[in-house]
Amino acid sequence: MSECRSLDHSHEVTGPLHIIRQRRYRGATLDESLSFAFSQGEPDAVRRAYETYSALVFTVCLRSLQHRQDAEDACQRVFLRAWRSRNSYDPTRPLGAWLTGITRRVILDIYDERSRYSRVTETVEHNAQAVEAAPTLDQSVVDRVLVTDALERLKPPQGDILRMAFVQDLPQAEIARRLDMPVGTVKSHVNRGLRALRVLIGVSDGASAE
Amino acid sequence: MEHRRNDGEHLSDDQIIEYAMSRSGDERSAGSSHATHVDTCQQCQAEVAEYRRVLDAIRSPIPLQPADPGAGRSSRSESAPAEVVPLPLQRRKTITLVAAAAAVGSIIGGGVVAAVAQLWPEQEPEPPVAEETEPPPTEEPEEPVDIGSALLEAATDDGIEGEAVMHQDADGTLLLTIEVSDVPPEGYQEVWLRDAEAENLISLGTLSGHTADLPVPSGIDLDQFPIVDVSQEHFDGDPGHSGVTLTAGPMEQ
Repeated sequence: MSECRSLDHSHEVTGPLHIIRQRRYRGATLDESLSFAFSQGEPDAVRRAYETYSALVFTVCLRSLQHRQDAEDACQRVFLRAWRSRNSYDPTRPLGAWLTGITRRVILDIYDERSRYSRVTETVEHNAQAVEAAPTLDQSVVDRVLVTDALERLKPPQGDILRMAFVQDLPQAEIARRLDMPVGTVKSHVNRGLRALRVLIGVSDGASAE
Repeated sequence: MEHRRNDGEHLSDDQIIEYAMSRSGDERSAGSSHATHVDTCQQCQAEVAEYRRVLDAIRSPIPLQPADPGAGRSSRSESAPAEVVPLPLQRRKTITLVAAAAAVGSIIGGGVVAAVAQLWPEQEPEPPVAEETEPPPTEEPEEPVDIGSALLEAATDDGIEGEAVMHQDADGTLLLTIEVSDVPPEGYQEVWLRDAEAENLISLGTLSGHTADLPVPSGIDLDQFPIVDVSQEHFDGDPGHSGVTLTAGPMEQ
């Protein structure tokens, strides 16, 4: 598609808009300066991390908690806890994925608080039922939000190619035709993209187990 | 049969991916020798499972929602009323701090910063002064001096061009004067300083009409943000760059 075909790197400064956007997302994935600043506790880093990754964290919270106010509180708890544990953060790991690991722990804490609350107020029947509705964290929610976010941040045109291959279910030969690139190039983009996403999920898993 | 392997030999990463992508019905097409090995190899099974987890996630995306849809507007008060959930004491302290901080900051991000500052004030280092590459005020301290200018080239079919000049006051205060040839009627336009890769951006403010005089944060390293960028924004509450640049150009100092 034309959108992908124009993803060249010849416009160094002003560049077509979606390139700038893609680059920004890619940069956010691999933003070593932010990761490093965060791990070093630089005062501005938590704000930048929030700007870059709050939608990722918030979406996981909202999906898991099904309550906007709780999700907003949880999202802030995640950034506070992340900032407090920044010494344990290895800046060579992707920051967003690491934050989703902390997000899982915060959500599990909130589930725990909710169930303790419901034990205290078990006489209030609808409360107890509401709590029972969401007793465990759906791991696939974290994966899906993390991957959706990462597809925007992958080095172009990997995200587009992965979406064509697995959301639109286009054969690699058809993707190659549409993007006017060799099939082998499509395949290597697919494989590289999948590897990058697998690393993200691994980092998220690791951070939630810390 | 060049792909034939001993049972003890693991699949390569590319083969694992190929195997994971194959549907159960046509797994044979990935090479039956692979299937034979994977059937008996826990390590390869685990890797296949990880890639299938990635593929499942790609196939059912969850669109991201901004954490703070009402940023900069009063819609925060319209958000769902806070539910009073009794919390263990140490948690309650955190939540209270967060809530207070959120109330102070118009943007939640600011709230987090404020809350962090309250929780760990002793760990807040001094603002970085490491690389003070700001040109010192020059010979005429009474008058603002131009320390840089940028010609903005059109980045959309609208063909909007412009010019920006960076002034510095005697006390070091920076001001960017910007003028553009046209503005689209919809939404609004925001002015940014950014790096060439658009990976790091600082918002200076919005355009009103064709021109604006925008204060620039003192302490900024202009070498790190050499590009002036005007974006087309929507009233969506998203404080970030929309990704749509109308016009942009490098600042020459």
